[in-house]
Amino acid sequence: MLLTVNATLLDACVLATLEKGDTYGYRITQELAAGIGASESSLYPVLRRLQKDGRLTTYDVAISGRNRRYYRLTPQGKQALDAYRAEWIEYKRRIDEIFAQATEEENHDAH
Amino acid sequence: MTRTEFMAALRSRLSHLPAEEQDAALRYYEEYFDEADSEEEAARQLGSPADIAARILGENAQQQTAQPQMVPPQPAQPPKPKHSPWFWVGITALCIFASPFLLGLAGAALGLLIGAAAVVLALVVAVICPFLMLSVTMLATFVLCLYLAAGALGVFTPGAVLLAGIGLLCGALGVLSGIFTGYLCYWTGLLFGKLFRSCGRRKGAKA
Repeated sequence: MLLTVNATLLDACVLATLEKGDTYGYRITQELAAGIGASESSLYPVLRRLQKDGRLTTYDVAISGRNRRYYRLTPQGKQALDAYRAEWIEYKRRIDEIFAQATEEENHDAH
Repeated sequence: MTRTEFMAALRSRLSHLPAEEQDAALRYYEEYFDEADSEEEAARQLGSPADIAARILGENAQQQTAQPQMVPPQPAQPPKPKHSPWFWVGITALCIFASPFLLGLAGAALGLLIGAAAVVLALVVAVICPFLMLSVTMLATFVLCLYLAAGALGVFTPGAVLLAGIGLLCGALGVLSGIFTGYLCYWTGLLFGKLFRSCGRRKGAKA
């Protein structure tokens, strides 16, 4: 993708992924790598920071002789996600507006 | 790069971090390798351990610098008084002991001011008075000439006309001079008004 997701948007995407249900690091990484081209190496620091900020918690589940660490959205994380959503809608509207202006002007010039 | 090589490289680069941070990071990447179908593929996806370590170290440094901001702000300290009480005691004492000198100075300044005002007034009067006198004299001559001309009209007509002419000339000069005197008075008034107002302002500023 030509356009890349910045750190804040990546935070929001991680929170949104967890809103669908608790999941573990490898899954989140794969999902976001496929979804928005986030690099596999960038996810851990984000998860760790969100955990420290209290936006998500972890719990371990035993699976095939080892522990798998699951991440869960906290109420605080849900609140942050809602704020990001509202922000995104406004951001998208503004970008759309600018892009629409450009197209209108092009049409204007063509006539 | 194999899983073992990757993890060893990451561990050595994170060795400066607190044990808790190191464990959390290493655990995450161990799990990542466990979950992946192929360890080589996982290592390839993750990229260089140096790059990953740099991100983790960067994030930690940011949090450490950001932490002081989370501490509730200290209650604002009351502003320090600019001068100690002794400073004001000293100033007061100085004022009292220096009062003869200060009063003398103030008296001298007042004297100078009054003197200057008197000089200005004298100059103005010296300029205005001649013009006023000229005006009065000319108008008086005008009246006198016309009176004489009226008397001489039947007796010696050319003389009467001459007198009347002189009288009119004097009258015109008198009127002009009067007007000029009026202007002089007006300008003087303005000058003195400004002078007194500026003095008043200076006194107001002192008080």
